[in-house]
Amino acid sequence: MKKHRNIKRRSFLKASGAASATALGGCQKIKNVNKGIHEFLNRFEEVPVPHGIETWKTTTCNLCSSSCGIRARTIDGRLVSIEGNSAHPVNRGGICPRGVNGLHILYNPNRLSGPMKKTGSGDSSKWERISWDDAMKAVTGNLKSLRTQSPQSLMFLHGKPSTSLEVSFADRFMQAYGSPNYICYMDGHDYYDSSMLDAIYLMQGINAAPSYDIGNSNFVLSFNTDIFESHENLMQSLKAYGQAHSERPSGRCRFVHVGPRLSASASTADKWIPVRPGTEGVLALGVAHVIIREDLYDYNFVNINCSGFEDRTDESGKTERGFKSVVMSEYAPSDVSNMTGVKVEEIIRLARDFASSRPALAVGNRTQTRIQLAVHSLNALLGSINTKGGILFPPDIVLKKEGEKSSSIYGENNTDFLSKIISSPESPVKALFIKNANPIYSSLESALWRKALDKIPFKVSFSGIMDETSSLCDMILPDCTYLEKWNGSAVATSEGYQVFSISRPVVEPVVECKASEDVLLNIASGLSPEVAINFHWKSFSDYVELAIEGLFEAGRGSRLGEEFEGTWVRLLEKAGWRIPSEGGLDEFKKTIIDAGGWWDPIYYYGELSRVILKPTGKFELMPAIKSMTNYSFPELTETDETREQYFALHVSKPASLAALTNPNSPWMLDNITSVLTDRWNTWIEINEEIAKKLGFKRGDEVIVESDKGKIRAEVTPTKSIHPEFVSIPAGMGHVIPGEWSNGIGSNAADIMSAVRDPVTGIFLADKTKVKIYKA
Amino acid sequence: MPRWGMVIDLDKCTGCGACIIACNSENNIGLSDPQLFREGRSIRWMDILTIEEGEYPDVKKKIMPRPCFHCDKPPCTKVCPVRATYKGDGGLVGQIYPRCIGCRYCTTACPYTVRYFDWYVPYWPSEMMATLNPDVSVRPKGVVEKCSFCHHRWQKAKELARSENRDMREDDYVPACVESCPGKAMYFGDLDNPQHRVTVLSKSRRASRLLEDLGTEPKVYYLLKGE
Amino acid sequence: MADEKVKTIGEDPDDILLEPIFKTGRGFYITVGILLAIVAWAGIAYMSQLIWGLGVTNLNRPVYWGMYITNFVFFIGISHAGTLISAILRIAKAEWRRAITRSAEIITVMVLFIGAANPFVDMGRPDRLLNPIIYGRFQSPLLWDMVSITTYLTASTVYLYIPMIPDIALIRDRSEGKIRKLVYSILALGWEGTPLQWKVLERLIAIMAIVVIPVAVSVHTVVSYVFAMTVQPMWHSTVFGPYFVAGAIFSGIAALIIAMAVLRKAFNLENYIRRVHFENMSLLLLVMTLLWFYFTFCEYITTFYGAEPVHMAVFWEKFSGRFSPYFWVMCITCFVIPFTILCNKKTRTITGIVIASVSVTIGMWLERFCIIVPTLANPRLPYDRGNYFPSWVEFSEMAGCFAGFILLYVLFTKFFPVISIWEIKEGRKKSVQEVSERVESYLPGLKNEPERAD
Repeated sequence: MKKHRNIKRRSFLKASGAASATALGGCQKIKNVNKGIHEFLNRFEEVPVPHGIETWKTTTCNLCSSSCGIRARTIDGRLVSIEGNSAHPVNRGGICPRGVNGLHILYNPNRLSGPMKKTGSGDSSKWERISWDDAMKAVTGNLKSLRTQSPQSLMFLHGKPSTSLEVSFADRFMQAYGSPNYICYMDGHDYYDSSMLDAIYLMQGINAAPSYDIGNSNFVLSFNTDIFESHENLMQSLKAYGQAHSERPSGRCRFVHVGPRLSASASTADKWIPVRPGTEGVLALGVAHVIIREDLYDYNFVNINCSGFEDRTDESGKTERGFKSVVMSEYAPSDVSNMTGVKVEEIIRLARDFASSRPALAVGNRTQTRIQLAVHSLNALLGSINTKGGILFPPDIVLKKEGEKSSSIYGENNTDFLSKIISSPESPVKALFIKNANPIYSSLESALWRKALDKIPFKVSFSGIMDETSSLCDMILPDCTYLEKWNGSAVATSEGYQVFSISRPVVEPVVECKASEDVLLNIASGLSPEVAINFHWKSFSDYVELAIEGLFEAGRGSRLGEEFEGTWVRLLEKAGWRIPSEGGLDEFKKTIIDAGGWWDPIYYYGELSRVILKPTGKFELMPAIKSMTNYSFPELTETDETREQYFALHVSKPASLAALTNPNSPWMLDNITSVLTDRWNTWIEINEEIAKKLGFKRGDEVIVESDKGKIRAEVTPTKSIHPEFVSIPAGMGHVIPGEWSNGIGSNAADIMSAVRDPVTGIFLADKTKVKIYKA
Repeated sequence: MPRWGMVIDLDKCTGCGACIIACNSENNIGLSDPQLFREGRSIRWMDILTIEEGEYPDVKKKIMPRPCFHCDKPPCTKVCPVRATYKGDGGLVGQIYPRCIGCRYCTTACPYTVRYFDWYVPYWPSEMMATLNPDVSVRPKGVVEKCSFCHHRWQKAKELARSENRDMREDDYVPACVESCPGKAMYFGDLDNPQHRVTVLSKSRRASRLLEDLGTEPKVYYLLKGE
Repeated sequence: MADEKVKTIGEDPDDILLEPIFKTGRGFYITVGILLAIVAWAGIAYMSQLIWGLGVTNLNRPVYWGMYITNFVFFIGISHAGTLISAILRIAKAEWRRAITRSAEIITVMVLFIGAANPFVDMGRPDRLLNPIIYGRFQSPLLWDMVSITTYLTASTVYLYIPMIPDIALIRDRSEGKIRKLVYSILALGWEGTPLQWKVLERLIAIMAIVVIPVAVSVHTVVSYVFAMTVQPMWHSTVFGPYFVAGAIFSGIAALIIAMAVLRKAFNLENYIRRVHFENMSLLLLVMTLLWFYFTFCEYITTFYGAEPVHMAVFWEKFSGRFSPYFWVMCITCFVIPFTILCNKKTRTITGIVIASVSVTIGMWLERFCIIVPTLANPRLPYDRGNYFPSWVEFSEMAGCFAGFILLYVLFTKFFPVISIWEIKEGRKKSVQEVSERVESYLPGLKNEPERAD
């Protein structure tokens, strides 16, 4: 019995052992099967990402005029990522979305593979890919013969004016060629604060780009300036905002945004004050009224450095009313409240807060000089001119340029040449270079441009991709991207420090492109000896190095370094020490280039004699008033019925689309703005109440019609817009083939009326009336 | 073992979106297009959330960057049937793409909806394949993916520190979003290390976490807007 | 019974039950053809999903689960019809059960295959099917699901198979083809009808009937756990377990009634499946209608009074928002229609009962949809809002599921009798006596006085 049981147990153990072995084997089998399936599928699915040698190079982003320092990471020669350079004082390691998007600009599938030539004419025209030799021969030949007849009939249209060396180099080329027609061009979609420049010129007599020292300010009052979207130096304001809200000894900076729309900038502000369209200037003077009435202004600055504050009696005994009496009599809070729609208490509170938290800064609307003047008067009232936390005017950097003088004409206010070309029987412009500009797409007068381009016999574009304008040209000589070529640009940080940033090629050219400067150099050397002598360099990089020599000779500043190094340099300089020399010139060049640039971490506040250049030597307050008197207000005062149909059009410039001539990038179009969930299409923001009244729901397709044209848009009802306003974004609606840009959204420029400022002649963006109806 | 965490100062955030693009670039996130957007299938490990509050004219828009919160008690890892998602070293919630079966249980279990699914094979034009980061694998279709706090950067930082024979420093390991932030609104570090900035900031009066009452113990702190 | 002789077809009144097995009509081929076409179509749709990814569905972020998971819960619910009802009726010794237990059990087994297939259709990586086995983690309710469904499937299959053995033996004895004879011989497990075999069979059936009930209840509870174990609004609820079980039985009974009606028509079984069966089942259905209403009421009233914003977002989406059409149709089809029909003696005809059942089936599908989608479309954070309507691929898969289920059922009827022949025979022979004995055993004043010792 016992034995029997034993056997049984043993056999049982055996059996169970065998069973578990089978089970284990089964498991192994399952694993093998699983592995087999994986390996089989991986063959079809896996995207291999090759590894390789990693290198980091410092260079400078050229996508806007901030000129941020960037570090480019390459793996075996392919650019994998772009990061901010923490040693660069402009961005201190940060990078804006556009900066990272440089990757998609470099590797854009729609880049031209090389020089293109148009054959045939009219509708039967075709683009043909040619070699660089042929292209250069054709262009040089053409220009050579033109130069013997009339050199001034060559025109160079250079978009996105900046302080980079490419601008001065192109200018130099035009001077050597003998043509004064070098035009730095901007248009409806560009974002240059020219109205600010004009206002400053009228009040201070200085022609300089200001720096807003937001980071050190205690109160920033923004009058419809989308400072964190389309500001000229986006990165600087983003960085300064962070500084202004970090733990500073002076406390937290308050931020108030005045404007019709709760934009991304307004939503970062502590308070948004909606005003009626176009009345920001009135509100500014209302604030001035309260500041003067309550004696909150800076007595010293106003009494000593301003003129036109008090009434003035001239020799003949005629009294001219001053800023004070006009503001006191005409801009009382109750009147201002009627005009702007802002409550009286709100105006008073705003003025008190603003004036009592100095240093305070008023930043103005970017399109209308009229408003800008009123806003800038607030800066004078609070003495924020060239003070820490105020508005600064950094001097120019001394760069060695071998005797150039600037002849640039700025702005679209000088598009008289268009009408000249169109009206004369034969175009006075015989050849045209276009670079960084796409007026056919973005100009408010694109019809005129089309006609003018039609009449110019020889047009060369430097565009790297086929865009609306270059498709009308005769030849395209694709320029390299900023990641494939040399450049240098002089900028100032928001704290007023001067910076010289250097761009250098970080990857081999992805396509057969050529830096436009090298093309010009090439053309110049082929033209005639007297032109060629001005271009004795081998390539543009020599010109950049020459500029660095100027810095060496100036003997100030330092190569870029981490933040604490900047403080160190500052201390040394204050103590009277010279900056440690970088050895000889060659070593200086090398360290500067490796670091990504040079800077001078010193700013001299005060210096009013440098920044106020009026003949009286004083800050003129009167322009602020004078420009307001002939202002007819408001433009939407029609009968109530028409009110319901007509809206003032606000064109927003989202950060991701503002600086791109062709936003052919999925990253940008998928992140147009963070304050709305709309992407990949042109939307129209309408006040929720009004939308309800008109029967519009979210996502409805509507037609937006102005006297100029009509476009389609998708309705986005929102609480965050003034009922009299509607807003659409600029930057979409391209019609030229592009993997992502083509057919996405509508072009805001198609409906924007081309109304110019009577004072300055630049386009006013807020002057379009539209009506909206269902598509 | 560190406990990696993030602090986002909403008082410094302008909603510029740099973090989103930097993340897209760093982590080989498939490109979006109008169709994907319409279908609600765009992938963004880092996103910026906006909400409109109040009535006109007293309206406020609140902007909030949202990565994965890498919860200390993650609801997502509990439900994964194959341990494709797990709470790993440093408290990071990881995702094993080759193991994920794509059941999307974790995506539904996550109260923060920060997990994304690859509905299609990710797409890059051949030219743009050059920008792919070799440190991060490209996800095939049909798996779940999510913010990893740039886990690969930690690996690299660790190796670098070891090769230089030193301990890791505070700023050795920083995810791409934090590094890119123009306003320096984001901080990253070890929440257990009293020397690290995040530890100090996470105890600030302004610090709070999203859906704190769920007990998920997220490791991303928000510093509320000042005033 | 053991001494019963083998008879040829036509002699026995129950031969009508064997008819579909030995005679194949045109109707069978047409039905199977149509069903196969639909299944093939679903197969093509699935291939497109396999090639392009789950992008071909209309799922999105945050609605990560949609029709597939709805189908999963729905079909698993239907499966409760069979085994559970048959087991309860067996234990309760309800004599009228004899004609319907088999058809009910078939539903369970067949629909479980379909239900369990849905999560696999829903998988992003079907090629990693084996991962849950290799790397399986028991923290995940999905694993619990896998285990409980496999257990249930095994138990139900055994429970279906065991009572079928005598019938298989009967077919074996009557078959002439060689292969056919062989197959049925194997399946019959050497059934000779000896008294011992009968004893074992009855014992086994009794055991299985008891085992299968807790398994069935647990399966649907576990299915509800998939949702209830997350913190999502209106999912994280303790009532979900019983709510799902009640819903499952509810939809199961409805499905069984429909199956009964179809079988009765298709195989001319008016003599076997009679009005009394419909009547009894309809009363069960009525009870479940009320129970369903009770659970639904509990679920929503607690949410409403708790009034937590995240829950209320989902609540209002169902009551008046984007998902209100689904919700209110669900309320009408799950409660208003069946309740009105079944309450009224006049409308409680066979047609009426079948209409009520169809209505309940539709309603219960919508209920699963209304549980899954509105919650996912309104997650806790108020930023991500989704919408969902299934795509053609998902509809194709659903059609394929229904067609596949019916196809399996039809094929089953081709090979096995849909009504348990021996049980019918046994009933005829013994039950009158048995029932009277049983009644005598517990009713006083009939025959035997109760024993004091009890």
